[in-house]
Amino acid sequence: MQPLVAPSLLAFDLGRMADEVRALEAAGADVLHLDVMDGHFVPNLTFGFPVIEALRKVTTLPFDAHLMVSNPDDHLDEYARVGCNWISVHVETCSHLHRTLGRIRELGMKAGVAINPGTSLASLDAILTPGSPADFILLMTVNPGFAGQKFVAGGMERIAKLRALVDERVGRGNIRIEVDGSLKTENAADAVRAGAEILVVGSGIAATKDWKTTIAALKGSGSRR
Amino acid sequence: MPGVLRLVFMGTPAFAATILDGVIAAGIRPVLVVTQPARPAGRGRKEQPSAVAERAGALGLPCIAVENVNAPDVMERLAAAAPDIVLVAAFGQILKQPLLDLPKLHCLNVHGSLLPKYRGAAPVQRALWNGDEVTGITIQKMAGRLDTGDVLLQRTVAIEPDDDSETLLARLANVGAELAVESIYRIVSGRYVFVPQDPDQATYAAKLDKSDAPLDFQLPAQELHNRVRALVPWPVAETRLGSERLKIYATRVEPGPFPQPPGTLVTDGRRELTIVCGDARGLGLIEVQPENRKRMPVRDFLGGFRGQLPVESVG
Repeated sequence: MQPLVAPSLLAFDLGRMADEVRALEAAGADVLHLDVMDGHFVPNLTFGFPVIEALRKVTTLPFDAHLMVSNPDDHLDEYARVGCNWISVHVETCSHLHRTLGRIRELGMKAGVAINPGTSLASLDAILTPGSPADFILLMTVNPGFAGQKFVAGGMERIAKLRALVDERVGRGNIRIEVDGSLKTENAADAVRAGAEILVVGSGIAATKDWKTTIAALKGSGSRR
Repeated sequence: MPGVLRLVFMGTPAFAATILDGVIAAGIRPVLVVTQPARPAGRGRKEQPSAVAERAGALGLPCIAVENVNAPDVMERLAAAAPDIVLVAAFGQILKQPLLDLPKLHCLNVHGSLLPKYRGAAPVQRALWNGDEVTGITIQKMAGRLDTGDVLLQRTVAIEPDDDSETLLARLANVGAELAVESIYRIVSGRYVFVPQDPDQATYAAKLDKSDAPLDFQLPAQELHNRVRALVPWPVAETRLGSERLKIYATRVEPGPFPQPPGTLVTDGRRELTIVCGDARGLGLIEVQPENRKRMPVRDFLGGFRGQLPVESVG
């Protein structure tokens, strides 16, 4: 299966955001990944509604907002209003995860659960069921907060473990696995082989010369050899 | 009720236009039609008025296109229309409580599923995606939370094996029009009951987007066939033939069994092209669209290669 490529806006030139997004769309990106940070759940601060709303006018790419915030429930309606299509919330912050996911779907968006490298996959037990309330799992392979970090040790094994859990309990194709953290053309094939279906890539695209070639190579990581 | 029923109709795409037509055919002429503003659509993404705006224009009905139906100036206009009933079908905006409380009788909604199943934006697409054999239309009294309203009328509609979202939506729209008219009659004559939904049975139908288009040939053939149907007319299923994108509009399930690995192309070079799926059955392509070309039967597509496809497998 060819993976979807979701460039992460944070790694690009934020001073020329609209141009960068248009260029990514033209280069073959499937989804635009938006890292929303609140300076509380994670040490960094990024962007929010006005920026997302402005970007909605320049592209038709689906928006995938990764909420690294302590209180995601307070603003779900706003994310829908400004044009987000997917929302992921952290299993570490949601005390009523089913309710939050239900609300995201109710607002017409796809609901995802993000999980940090230090959190046991067992915390996804209640989500990985037939008829799951989630549409995707966002597996972090770095500790969220900053762009450009190193892939955590054991990351590939963790992807494979999640893949096996999803296939066994929910059935392949019902929940998708998105992987975020230090992915590039060099390790993308390993991640896809382990079971990643959506690749969030930041500097792995931004730091290369020809984005179109890079994105094509990332997608090609799904081909059998 | 004395006098003429004052109906305000809210809707946007073709599904809603069909229901508007049905209401008018029954002799009920809305005092006001509300729709979404013109949006970029089609090739060239030129601004196009909604199907309902066009229909209302052709019928000479007063019609307003609004960005936010709950905004004070719109609310004023709606209050001036003094509706007995507000009928909402695929409008695309959420009505807030002051608006829900505005009509003398009720705000009614035509929803394309058997609620509480498939609440949300894409009930028809999700029913196809999941391979359901039956769906239907629900008329609900609109509530503060989306698609949680008490049910007035429901009718089931069979899903045909070759239905796609376009054909199924068109059929559901006709049933929706009949039920909308019947609901209005019942409410006006006072012969009706509202039945609450069972929240434990609720499921949500998230919108499809472009990311749902690529097919994963590890999945069983029937599931992929269902997805192809759900994805027409938008965003349309696709796969990659080498570096070229191939859109897939119509398929059938080939029983096989095929010994080749999933994604392998099996073809006689002339008429048939089948992609092997995860359950050793095949997805037989019927109609496709290669990149920068128009839609064509698979026979014409194969003709372009004189029997020699550039790749042996896809996905």
